[in-house]
Amino acid sequence: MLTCLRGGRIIDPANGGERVGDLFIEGERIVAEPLGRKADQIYDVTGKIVMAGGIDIHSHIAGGNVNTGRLLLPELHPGQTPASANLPLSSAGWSTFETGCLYAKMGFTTVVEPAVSPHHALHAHLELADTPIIDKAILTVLGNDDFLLSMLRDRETPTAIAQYVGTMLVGTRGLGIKCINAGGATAFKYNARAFSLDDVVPHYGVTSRTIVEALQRAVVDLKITHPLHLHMNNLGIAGNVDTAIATIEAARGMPLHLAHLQFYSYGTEGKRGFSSAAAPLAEAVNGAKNITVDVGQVMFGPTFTVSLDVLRQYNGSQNARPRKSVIFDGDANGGGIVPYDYRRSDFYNAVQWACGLELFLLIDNPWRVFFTTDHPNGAPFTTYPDLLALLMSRDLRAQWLAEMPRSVAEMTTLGSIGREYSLQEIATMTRAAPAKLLGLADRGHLGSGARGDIAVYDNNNDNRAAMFRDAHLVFKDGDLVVRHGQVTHYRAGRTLESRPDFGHAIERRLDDYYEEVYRAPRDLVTIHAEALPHADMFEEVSLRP
Amino acid sequence: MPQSACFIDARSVSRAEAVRSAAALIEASRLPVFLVRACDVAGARAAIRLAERVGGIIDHVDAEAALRELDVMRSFGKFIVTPNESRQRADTVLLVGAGLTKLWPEMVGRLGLGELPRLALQPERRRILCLGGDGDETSLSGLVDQTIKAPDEALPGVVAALRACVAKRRVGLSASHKSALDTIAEKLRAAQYGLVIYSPLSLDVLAIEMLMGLVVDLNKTTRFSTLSVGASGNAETLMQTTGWMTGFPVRTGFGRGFPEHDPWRFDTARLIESGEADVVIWIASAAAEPPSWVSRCPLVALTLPGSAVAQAKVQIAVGRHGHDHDTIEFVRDVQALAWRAASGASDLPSAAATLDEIATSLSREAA
Repeated sequence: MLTCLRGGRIIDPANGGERVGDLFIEGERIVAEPLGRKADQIYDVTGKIVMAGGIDIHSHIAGGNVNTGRLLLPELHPGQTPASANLPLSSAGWSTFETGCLYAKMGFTTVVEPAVSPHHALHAHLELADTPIIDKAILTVLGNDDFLLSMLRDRETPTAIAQYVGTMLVGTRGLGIKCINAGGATAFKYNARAFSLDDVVPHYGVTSRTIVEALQRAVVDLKITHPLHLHMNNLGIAGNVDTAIATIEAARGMPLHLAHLQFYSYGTEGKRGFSSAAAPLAEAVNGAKNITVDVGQVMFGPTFTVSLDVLRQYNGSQNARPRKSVIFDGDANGGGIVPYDYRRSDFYNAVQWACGLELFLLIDNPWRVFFTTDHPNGAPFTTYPDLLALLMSRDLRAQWLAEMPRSVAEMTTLGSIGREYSLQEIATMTRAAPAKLLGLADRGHLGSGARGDIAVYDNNNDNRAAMFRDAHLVFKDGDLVVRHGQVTHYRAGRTLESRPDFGHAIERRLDDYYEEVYRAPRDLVTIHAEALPHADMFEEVSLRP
Repeated sequence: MPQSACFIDARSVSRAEAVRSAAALIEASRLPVFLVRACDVAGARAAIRLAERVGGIIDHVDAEAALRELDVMRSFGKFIVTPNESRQRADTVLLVGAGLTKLWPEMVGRLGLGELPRLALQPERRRILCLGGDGDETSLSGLVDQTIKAPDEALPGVVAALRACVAKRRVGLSASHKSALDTIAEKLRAAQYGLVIYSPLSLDVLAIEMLMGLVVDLNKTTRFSTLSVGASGNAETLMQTTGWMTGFPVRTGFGRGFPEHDPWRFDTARLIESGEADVVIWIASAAAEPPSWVSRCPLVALTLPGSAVAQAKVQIAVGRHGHDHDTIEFVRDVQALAWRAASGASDLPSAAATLDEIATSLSREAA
């Protein structure tokens, strides 16, 4: 069937920018205008904004720790509305079903769950299989695992390390590799309460810097498109901008993605010893072309923080709102689940909010700064429409800032920044750039051959938040799944994975290791696709040439 | 046993007939309750989907202990460690309550209590301390460093006193009792990585919360965490699955079209007692008998072939998960869902497939 979206304003930065015209879909793909054929179905989208489906590169939507969060905080998600018969469980607050629907209705069609420890990969894939409509991927977490730390202690070769990393990635069916407070979660098990780039992990004698460097190199050697995705040391601490800048320097030109940079943009000025250092940090990012970042914007309201950085979460649990938390010493990373309520009237929270916006606005290249709230850590992803509106309007930011403690404006540069994101830049940051970063050649753009993942928005100049909250139409693989902000039906999304080639000499050793240390077969970190509800859910993403 | 081991009112019938009859019973019901005794993730998913569709309730026969643990978590919070990490790190182990090794017979081996902790900075023989019980942990013989005997009913007070001793607060105890607790407190404070083992079967919510408070206090200066034993791993399998599918744990109902969680309202025993439940779907893809109180309500029983349930209105044979078919279920050693291959693969339909068949047999209006 040939479908035509007629007369829309097509915003497609990957293919030369912007045009007004028709867009054709045949089957699952976007096609060039076929000569001499009439469309079977026409949607008149005159005056509306047409973009590729949004891609979220960092959102904690699935896995054991997220599920603990659901069970820890029943008060955050009471049900209110019945689900319709063809959308079972879609109104169940915080369920995987609701997650798929809420993303789809904002026009997002691909989401990456960025923190899956290998022993919980199966759990994460089960949840993703129950997350309808959108495509998903996981990042596999290494860097606090006994096996890797022992390899580094024993100075094993980069080839052996790449084999290990490749085995874990392919076994857990991840898209890329994440490292979370390298060595820090392990050091916390030895009672460390702070852990920085050059601190040494007890028992292993290796530093955070060594671990990060080894993983960066393994990712490059394995030709995984997405660079090492790094959650740095010292998250959330005043003065941690120094750690961020030191980490950028430590990358020495190798590709590196820094996650939720906002949480590392703090200085120590002012009478409270807490200020925004986003401006110098943005400058450092602008100067280091090998670095990409996502922001992890804070928005106000109750949420929960979930992280495999157990050390940080333990420290954060002292300020939990409400005061309860789960600290889990798991195999390798574990996790910490700590509820929090970001308040507009709270000086620290307001400075965090301003820091995030400063990073968005001061990092000059929208191909290198990614749109996240580190859901749910900075805010739930449902705040995206409001955040997009803030990026697009200086006046709106000024209104928000005026409602915050006056000292906040003094501790940040936000009030002085006039930049407003254009639709073109929004589409770059939320579509074209993430596709490039993750290696998804057929997503994030509207050229011929691209997947039919398309979002159509009303062009509402006065209320950008409303525009992005309820898309006019959303297509997934050419199938119309959202109409006027309402999901019409489910379809099963895919799970994207990388399958690099590498030697397999390490596998025997790993089998023995699992039998000896975990007294279990290595099946613990090997996903059997046929065990999942949709065995054909996986799609392989191409590697770097 | 043939896979057609299905019955209506103890009369042998075809599988299709039993499935149709089960669907008709559920459809005619005002409040169907899906009571799980044993199922894997696939079975849980199918039961939840069906419960939602017919406005029923999802419960587990061992929900009580699981919810006790959960109540501590959602009112106070928790420290948790995996058995694997415990085995490799814990230099000090405090067992609280009687009979823990009876609840988990493999404990000594799985936690390597007689071995050196591999990842400790200076691996030394573990220090094992017992609080409560009557010193009957025979499998621990020769390993225990110190025991303070106490009956279960005295445990909350003893735990509270120990917490006070650890925090160096005053306690109203005799000198000899205080001295014994002080000695334990000193050993806990000296731990590099300490582990508290307890069971929700022998401690109530407030006592578990007090234990967590003790662990919170100890973590101010050293590392400590907890391991709970005795609660049903299968209840945890179901709880994890309801968690992502509905946002809530078990004892969740769909009567109003969206999930609501209420441990009292959706307690199957209470619902049968009060007459609110009018059909129970008993799901047991493992050897198990339904509790006697279930028989007061019309029963659809999904059970292993050969385990006749006398009081069942409809009985349908299903395979044993992990035996007849591959399975995914909660595994305590890793505190995660894990896959296991069938140990004796057969054609017996799984509970999941059977529940899906029942769903397919419902008329469209039952949506």
